[in-house]
Amino acid sequence: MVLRRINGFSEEIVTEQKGFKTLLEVPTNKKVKIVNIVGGRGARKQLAQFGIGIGSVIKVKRNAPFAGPLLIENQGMAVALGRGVAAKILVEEL
Amino acid sequence: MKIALIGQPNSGKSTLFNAVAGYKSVASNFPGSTVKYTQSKVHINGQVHELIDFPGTYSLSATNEAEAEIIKYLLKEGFDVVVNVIDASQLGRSLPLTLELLELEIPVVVALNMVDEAKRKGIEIDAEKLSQILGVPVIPTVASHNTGVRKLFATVKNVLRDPTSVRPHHLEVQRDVEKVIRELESYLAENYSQKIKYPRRFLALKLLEDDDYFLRNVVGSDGRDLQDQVKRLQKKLVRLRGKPQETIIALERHALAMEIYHQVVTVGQPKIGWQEKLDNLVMHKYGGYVILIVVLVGFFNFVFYVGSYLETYLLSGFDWLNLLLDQHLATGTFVHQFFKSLLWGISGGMAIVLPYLTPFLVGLNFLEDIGYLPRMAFLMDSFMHRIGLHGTAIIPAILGYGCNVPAVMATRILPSRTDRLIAGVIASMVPCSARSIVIFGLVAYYLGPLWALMIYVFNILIIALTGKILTGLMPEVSPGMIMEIPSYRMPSWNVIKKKTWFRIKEFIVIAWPILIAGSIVLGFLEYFHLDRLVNLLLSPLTDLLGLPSKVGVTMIFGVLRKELSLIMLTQALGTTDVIKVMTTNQILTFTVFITFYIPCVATMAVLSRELGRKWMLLTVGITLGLAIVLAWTVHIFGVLF
Repeated sequence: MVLRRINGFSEEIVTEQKGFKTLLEVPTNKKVKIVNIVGGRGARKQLAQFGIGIGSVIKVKRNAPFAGPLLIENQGMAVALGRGVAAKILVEEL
Repeated sequence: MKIALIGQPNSGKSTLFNAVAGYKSVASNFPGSTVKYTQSKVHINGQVHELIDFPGTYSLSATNEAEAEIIKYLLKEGFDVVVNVIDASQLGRSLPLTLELLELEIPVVVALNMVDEAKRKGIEIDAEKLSQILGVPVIPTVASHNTGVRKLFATVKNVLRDPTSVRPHHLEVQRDVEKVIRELESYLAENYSQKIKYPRRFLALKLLEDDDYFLRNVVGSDGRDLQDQVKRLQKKLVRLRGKPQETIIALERHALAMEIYHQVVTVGQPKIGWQEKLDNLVMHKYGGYVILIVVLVGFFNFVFYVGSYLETYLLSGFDWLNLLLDQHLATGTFVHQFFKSLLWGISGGMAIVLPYLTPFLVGLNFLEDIGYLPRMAFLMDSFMHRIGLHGTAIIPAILGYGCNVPAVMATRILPSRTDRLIAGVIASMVPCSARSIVIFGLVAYYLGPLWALMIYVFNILIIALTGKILTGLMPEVSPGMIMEIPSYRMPSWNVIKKKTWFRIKEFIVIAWPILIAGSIVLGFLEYFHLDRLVNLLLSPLTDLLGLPSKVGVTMIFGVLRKELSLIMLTQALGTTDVIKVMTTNQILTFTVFITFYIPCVATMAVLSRELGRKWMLLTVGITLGLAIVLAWTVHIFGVLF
């Protein structure tokens, strides 16, 4: 399980985990639950400031073209996420 | 007595500040636009207090330099009361900051701002109940209409008179995590109660959050034992929650905030669904870009038509005054030269700068207040990526169109040093309002608005190229864009008016005197024929660029204020009808040179302060070299075709 693997202080890159997708692969207007954020500490902290972390249920509202950012909604707050960040957020569909 | 005004970005904090302090702080619907503290003396019932407007912050943890500054300042200065401004329409996400403030052991008064906006969204908040839960007064306000502001400050006054009347509650998170917090708290109490100057619970939370600032400052000086203790408890949290330790406390706080939210809010039927619909258009994957272009072209035409109409009108007035001067004073005398220069400086500010500056600022403030700029950043993110920056870096760049000084300061919101350096260099290359005056007053006025638009597009391309080269030289993995997209807001004409006036006042007080002084200095130089010497020294450059040697002296003065180059150009050429003495090619070459070369002294100063001397000098070098190369290219291009 993902949860057990991130215990400790190292940042483990979790690339292939069955059943989970990155946020990039989520179609718009779908609700998903975050299962892991493999990005750096800075990005995780910044997301946590917005109340986004493991366990959060978010919705992808928009997926801009030309490799533009994603727009997600978390508890009524719209947040733009760069594709680099989104690629590091692993989610499971609800 | 010291009052701190703290809130999240877009909470209406600056608007509130301005409602009580007169116009000193620039408010906008743009995350992170206040990067400097603004201070003001306020009178409450005859007593004078100091009110400090803090930059907007989502939390009290240091994820970037701007936030680290806030915490340092807040803890060091000894504030008597904190006024926490909350966007009532976004209560859930505003409360985490409030919860942190409650831990500081400073009396807090909550301004529940924008309650009108919340009502429109169908959100009804029980302020009384919220006040009971938090243990602090909660006053509903609408700062943009001055509603509730009086009551807010009456409450602040009461709190200042009797600080013990407010006892902020330390709200507890879920029991298992709470136990860990308590454990560290009592450890701190037992072992460090003498040494530590921060509120104990607040410190315990920050250490568990893995906050760099506190880890460095407290653990760093107090040895291994505390560090081991913190590590051990963090591990415990990770075991409890299965999340990285640096996110646990923040997420728990958010969960608690949502819990409070559900206790105090009744959500009715939202009256507006248009926000969503508008965003479907404005941020549409193709339509969004069409709208972006329409908005920019519209903005551009608005500035140009208003500006050129006023310029023509006002210039004819000054021409008449000039004629009058020639009739009444003997030409060629020192006195005549002096008054002529004086008039030139005055008319330059009045007839050339203000006609463009005013609509430019009104338009920019309007786009800012309505909330379009973050959406622009969203649309531009992929473009920024191509030049190696993430979308957040566009905030300083866009602010740069107003003035480079706040733009360079806004680079503080970027998390990494490399990002800051690149964004800082780029921000100082963006044509600010002063440079826009040169573009509008010279290129648009004489050659037509299309040419001016081309200069802007050209500038963007060059900036992109510079960014690309710089990021190529200094590669770094940046965390990418994480930015809030705030709701649209009906801009208040009152606020736009005040904001525009604030900047215009700045021009009148600071820049205009420089323009007038510059004109007089040029007048003296001309009278004693010293301008020829300067022009001679600069003739290699002007010759290279195919410009009349007379313009050499104006290029030097542009370093002070870019508008000065334009005013002095007309003065040096002896006519406001520039097109008669300069060719199209020369006008373009001159403008390109002025637009790109060396940021003005004020920008140089702020670059030096924010990024260091080395980078300031480097920016000066880069831009000067770039200006020469580009202007020369334009010149050669014009000669060949």
